[in-house]
Parts: sequence; structure tokens; C-alpha cells
Amino acid sequence: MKKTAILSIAALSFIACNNDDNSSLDQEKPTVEIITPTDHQEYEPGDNINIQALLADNESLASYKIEIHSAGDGHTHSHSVSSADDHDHVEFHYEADYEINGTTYEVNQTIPIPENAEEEHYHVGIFVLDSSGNQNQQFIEIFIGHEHDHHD
Amino acid sequence: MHKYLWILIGMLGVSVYAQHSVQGKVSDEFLEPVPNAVVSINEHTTQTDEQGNFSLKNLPEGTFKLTVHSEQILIYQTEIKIPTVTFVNIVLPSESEELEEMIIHTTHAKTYNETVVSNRNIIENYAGSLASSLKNVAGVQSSDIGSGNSKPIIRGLGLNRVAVSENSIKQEGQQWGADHGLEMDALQTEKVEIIKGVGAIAYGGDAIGGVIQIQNDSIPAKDGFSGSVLMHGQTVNEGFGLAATSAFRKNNHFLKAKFSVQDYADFKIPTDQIRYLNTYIPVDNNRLKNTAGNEKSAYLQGGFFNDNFKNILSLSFVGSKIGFFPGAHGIPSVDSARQDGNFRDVDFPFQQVNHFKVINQSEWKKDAHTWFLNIGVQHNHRQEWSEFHTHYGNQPRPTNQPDLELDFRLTTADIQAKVAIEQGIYHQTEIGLQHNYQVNRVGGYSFLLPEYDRSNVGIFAQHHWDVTQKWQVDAGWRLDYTQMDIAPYFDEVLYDYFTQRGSADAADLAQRSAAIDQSYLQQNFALGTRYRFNDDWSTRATFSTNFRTPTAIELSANGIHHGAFRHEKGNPNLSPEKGFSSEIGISFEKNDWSIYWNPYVYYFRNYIYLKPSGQFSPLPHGGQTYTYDESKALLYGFEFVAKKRFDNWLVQGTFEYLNNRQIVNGKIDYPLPFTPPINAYGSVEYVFGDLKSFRNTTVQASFRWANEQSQIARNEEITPGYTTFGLLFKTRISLKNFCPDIQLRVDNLLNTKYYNHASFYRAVEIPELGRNIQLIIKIPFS
Repeated sequence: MKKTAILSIAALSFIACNNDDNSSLDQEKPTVEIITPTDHQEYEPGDNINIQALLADNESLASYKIEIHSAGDGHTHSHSVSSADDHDHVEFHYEADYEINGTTYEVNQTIPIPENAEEEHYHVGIFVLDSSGNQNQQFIEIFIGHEHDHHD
Repeated sequence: MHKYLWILIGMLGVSVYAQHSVQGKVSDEFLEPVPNAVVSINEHTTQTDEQGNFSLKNLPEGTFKLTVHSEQILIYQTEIKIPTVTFVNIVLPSESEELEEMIIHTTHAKTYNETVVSNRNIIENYAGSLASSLKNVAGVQSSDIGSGNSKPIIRGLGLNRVAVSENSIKQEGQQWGADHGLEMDALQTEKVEIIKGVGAIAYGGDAIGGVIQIQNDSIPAKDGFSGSVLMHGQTVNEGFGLAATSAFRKNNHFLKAKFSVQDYADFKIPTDQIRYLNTYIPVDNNRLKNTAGNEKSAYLQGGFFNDNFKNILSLSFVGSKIGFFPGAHGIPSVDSARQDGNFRDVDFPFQQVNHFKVINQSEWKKDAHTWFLNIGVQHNHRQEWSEFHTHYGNQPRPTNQPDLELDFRLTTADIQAKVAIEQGIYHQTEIGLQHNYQVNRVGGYSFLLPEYDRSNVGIFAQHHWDVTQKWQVDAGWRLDYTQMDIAPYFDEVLYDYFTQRGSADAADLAQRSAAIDQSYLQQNFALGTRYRFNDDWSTRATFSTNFRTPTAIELSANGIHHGAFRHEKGNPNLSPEKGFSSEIGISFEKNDWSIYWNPYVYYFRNYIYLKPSGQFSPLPHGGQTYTYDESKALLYGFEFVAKKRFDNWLVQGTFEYLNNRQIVNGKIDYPLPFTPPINAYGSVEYVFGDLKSFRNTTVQASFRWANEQSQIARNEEITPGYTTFGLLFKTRISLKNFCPDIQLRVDNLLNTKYYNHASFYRAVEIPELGRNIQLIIKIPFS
């Protein structure tokens, strides 16, 4: 019983002595701001997508990832536009990640769209991590297809 | 260890011979006899007969506390001197005086921290589901999943660190999942006991934070047919429900049947847009799309009892279907957040859960021995439905149930044997053996958790010693052996996906889970003591070790978490979670004052948590990989409860302080995720005297306050503080054969926009429910 009491008292003293020092902890997420493409921007198959984005962190950036994939896989009613001849088209999917450092970074990258890319809405996403594992992400939606096919 | 066992064996030999007896009568405020009240002096217990009479034999000399329980709630206590007193005439105070309190602290000589919540309290605080209806209990918070589903958090510990049991069988749902609620019908629970801190001896390692014990095995008080019909409706989600309870008793047999249904629409939040991942998502008509749901339950119970034997068989079913907000289920989507004109329908994505349970409890009493045998079988079937979508272009649409994304079928069987031995009235020992076997099967077009079989055998011993009238000691020990057998899973679709992309380690990446065959042996100790200085002051202290086997999800999860873009990965190398906890309770009760303060501390040598790895997931659509990892952690805090009654007024308040930290390399590190903020609750209540046919009319005003939660884990957001207000009016209309209870409650009176740091929707920036007006009418019949 005495032991319990002593331990409890020790525990209480610990509480009393503990001061919340957060200074060494990084809880601030990095930021990502996609400049191009803009939301709902339209492209034709064979075009280049120029991705420009600003990444920043209060301490140190670690890596970023660019992902382009069909938006027709939303978790609800899909509203994807089917092409007339599906067989000739391929699903366009792009994914790449890069290590970076510093507190700011400018993404400037050109990604070609295949001539036979499926014509539909796509998500362009950028994920960014800082060196502590804090994460942020931004998505925008673009349309790839010929003008006359686009009934949105 | 050996020494300890010898002490236990030594205690078994002690016996006290006593010859005295006490007789008495229990009657209510109108001097009507109260049958079936449980009268106890220490471990000597009896029930009053139809005339309210009772008799207790074989009592020793001394001064003892005599208690009277009705429907397992302490309703009266007094001190008696034996053999000076041989007859006690007990007149219970009127119901409004004693039973209407929010929480009744048992003054039984328990060394641990227990709070009892009656069915009446739950109805009074009903918030759509069980855990959210318990959050007025100091130290208990809820993690809400929309308006009709929640899971409990005790002192910041949740998921697999809080055990929930019904009739002593542990509820086995999918506690590990953040979007999983508790499959319990809140309105029809008969009694709930919340034990904070030490629950591990009787329930195993999953009870580190505490145990929520639901007792649904009360025996109907009188012969004949009785029951009630309860109707409820509320504005925030246009929800309504019906709960019917009936009981029939004839001599030594009884039957109980309960049914309930509820249906609710999309809930309202006090905002017209939410900002999620830099996207403004509109909230049309202030209603959060597709958060509607429904729940139905059925409960059947039959029992037989006599002086030495009791057997109760219960069958229960709880089923629910609840929609998820589609606008933030993955990538923000403005289109899918648009209302479709129907607020009541549940569309994709949604979850559907069915929980079926059979429990048989037997109890034999022979002399000083009481034997208990409990057998339980339960099946939890949880499905997540979402219109077929894939992140790999090569995945074909399943032909059968194409929109079933995740399917978990968890079956658990329990067998528990226990003997309680009384050695005189000062010592009681319990020795028990428990076996639990669990089988998990999975399906669906996505993968999160592999199939597994788990077997657990536990043996335990507990001893209670009344050292003196004022001093009690409890000691307990438990040994658990767990065998975990996890099935490997190779993802063909993922393999093809990576192969097509020319990945060299396609085979490695496609092995979503590896075969694990692990066994764990664990031992826990608990010690507790209570000392009553005088009539006003008493104190308690407990110390216990904690030892928890890692769960299948911690060992081998491997999949993407919706909304958070989090690839969660299990870690087969985890060791069992180990640590200790200790708490002190100091209580003061005098006249109309009741004050209670209990500081506590938990220390973990290896707290298991989800750690951001700093690496991107190789899976398409995946953000960062989070891996289950372990670190030292310290949790501490206190709860403070104060209550003052004067005349017809009752003022009460609770305050909860908690803080926790990981400790890495001897340094204070990040706080643990989902930690509730420092919070308080207070209420002022006025009880009117009986006015004509209106009885126990009560008016209450309350507030709930939470501090800003800035102690956050990585990738959590700081949650601002808030204050909300509530009002309650209730009365019982007493007509001849018709005595309905009517209750009107308003929550979030000012329609305040606030966030619950621990709620499922917090991460996607969705505030808590707006103003809610709720009406409950309960009509008893017999």
C-alpha cells in the first residue's frame, strides 16, 4: 500500500513539474498552392499539362508527389463521360514523387497527355510532406477531351 | 508472485463464525411495501418479499452499512450495529428526492472508480446513441460518427483501449475502426456501470482505459405483465423512433421483450459551407448530405430463478444503416455534396452493420460459494458500400455485389466460469477462467484488414478484504494467453497493376498481408484500497499494470483510409502494450454537498500508435504511409465532480483535465491523437412540488464548455474551444391508469458552430450538430 501511495505521489509531482514545452515539435503542416492548371481547365489529348505549384513549410520540406488520374472514380455517383470507342483509348494515369528540401519549393513540370487518352474529367493532385511527417495535399479537376465532346 | 499466491491461499483459510440476524421491512414514501429490493450488509444479500420483508442471517458483531438497491441502483443506506439492532424499518424517500440525480455514486465499499448510470439518466441525456448519451459522466467523451452513431472515449483512451460489455460478455464489434459505432440500443439499456482505470482483471487487456458494463439482466419486480412504450423525435435530423419494452413474470419465471426502431434524415449543421483541402464545399439547406440513417433492434430474454439458482438467456439483434458524407469521402467533391432533394434516403457511400448476440448466464449459490457460468456467441457483420470504383485501371467490376467495398464478418464465442467464495463477511475471493475465440472473415473489392483467427484464455483471481469497517483492500491478478493467426493476402490486381508499370518489387507490394502466427503471454496485477476517515471524508487509491495484446489491425492492416489519404500499415513486429496506471480518489459528502476529485496517471512503456512514416505510399491515390509503431507515453489528468442540493435546487458540475505525451529518447514528444480537450459541464435544476396531476416536474439549464485543443498529434488540426447551452423540461403526468413521462430538451440552444476534436468528421472540417429540440414521451403500462 505504501508503495502505491509513493508511486502515486511521484506521479502527481510529475504532473506538477511538467510544463508543456512544444517548442521542439513541428505540428505545422506544409502548404501547397497549385497555380496551373486552374480548376476546370480544359486540355486536348496530346497537349502538355504544365504544372506549377508553390510548396512551403515552416521548417523543412521533405518530398512531394504529383498524381493525375481519372475523376470518374469518385466515391459517389460517377459522372464520367464515356468515349464513343473505348477500345482505342487508354486510361491516363500519372504518378511521380520527388525528394526536396528547404522551406520553399517551386514545382514546374510539364507532363504530356497521350494522344489516345480517355476523354473525361481528371484530378490533378499534389501531396507534400515535411521532414516531421506533416502532410498536406491539394486537388484540382481538369477536363481532357475535344471541345465538342464536353457536355458538363 | 509466489508470495502473493500464498497470501491469497492464506486468506481462503480465514473464516469468521457469526450467529446474529437482522430482520426488517422496506416501504416506499406512501408506506406501501417494496418487494424485490436487494438488501445487503457487506456480502450478505437478500431480496424483500411481497410484503417488503427481509431477513439476513449469520451476521457477525460490529457496525455495518446496510444498503438497499432497487433495479440495481442504490436507493438507501444506513448504518446498523449488530447485535444491538435486530429489526430495521426502512421508509424510502420519495423518488424525486433520491432517484432523479444525474449520476449516483455508489457508496458501496468499492476501491475502484465506478459510476452508475440508470436507464432514466440515459433517456434524460439521450443523444442518438449510447456513447454520446454518457458524455455527462466526468472522464467519458464520445467520438461521434454523424448523428446516430458514436463510440466511447475514457480519459482520451478509445478504440481497443475501452471495453464494453453486456451481461458480462465483452461486446466484440470492430472497435479498431474510427467510423465504427457501438451496436447497442441506448434507450433500452437497463443500467450502465462505468469503471475508469482498473478493468483489466475481469476483462483483459482491452480494458486499459476502463470498462462500460451494461447490465440488461434485471428481474421484473412484480408478477404479471408490465412494460412501456417510448416515442422520441428530434429536429436536428428530423429523427423519430419508437422503443417498446415488455416484461412478464410469474413466480420464478420471467420473459422480457424489447423492440426499437429509429429513422433519421441528414443532420443540420450551423454553416452553409465547409472548407476541406482548400475546396469550399457547399452545405445546401445547412444539411449534410447523405448522413441519414436508421437503426432497429430486438431483444428477447427469458429467465428462471430461485434462492440458489438463476439462469437467464438473452437474444439480441441491433442493425443499422448509416450514410457517409460523400463530399469529403476521398477527394473533395462539390458535385457529390449537392442535395438530391431527398433528405431521408441513404445513398452511397454508407455503412451497414448487423450485430447478433446470444448470451446465457447461470448462477448457483451453495453455502459460501457462488458459481457463475456465462456463455456468449456474437456475430458482427459490418459492410461499407460505395459505388464500384478502383484506383487500378485493371480491376474488373465484381459480378456479385459490385458496390460492396469492404465486408467484415466477425464471429466471437465466449465461455466464462467463475466462483465467488465468501470467507465470513470480511473476505471474498473470486477465481475465474475465460476463453474467447474470434474469427474474422473479409470481402469486398477493396482491402484493409486480413482474415484472422484469435484465441484467448485468461485466468484471474481477485480478493476483497474488509480490513476494518473503514478500510477495504482489493487485489487482483490475471494471466492471459493469446494465439493470433493472421491469414496472408496476395492482391492479384495490385500485382498486375505494378507489373504493367514495370515495377521491380511488384510481388512485394502486392503481398498486402503476410501470414502471422504469434502467441502472447501476459500478466496483470491490480491493487486497490479505500479508507473512510469519517462520515464525510473518504479516499481511494488504485495501482494496476496494463498489458494489451496488439490487435490484428495493428499487426497487419494495409490499405488506404478514406478522407485522410492515409495508407495505414500494420506492423507484425509490435510487442504487447505494457505499462501501469494509478489513481487516487478523494470524496467529501456532507449534508447536501458531494465533492469528488480523482487524479490519475498512466504510463506506457510502448504505446501503440499510427506513426507518419514520411514516405509516400506506393498505392495509387495514397498520400503518406502511416505505420503502427510504439513509443513511451504518459497520460495524466483528473476529474472533479461537485454537487450541491438545497431545497428544490440541485446544482452540479464536472471538470475534466487531461494531457498526454509520447516520450521519445527521454524527451517529451507529440501528444496522442484524438485527445479530448479540457472540458466542463454544469447544470442548475429546479424540482417543482407535485402540482395536481404533474409530478416531479423538473426544469434544468446546462452548459458544456471545452477548451481549445492545441495539444495535437501530427496531421491533426487545432480544434477551437466552445461553449454550448442546453435546456431540459420534464414531468410525469399522473392520471388514473395513465402516467406518461414527458421530456423536452434543447441542445446547442444558440446553434453554435463548434467541432468535437475526437469526432470522425472533425478531420474533414465538419462541425457538430446545430440546435436540436427533442421530445421524448414514455408511457408505462402494466
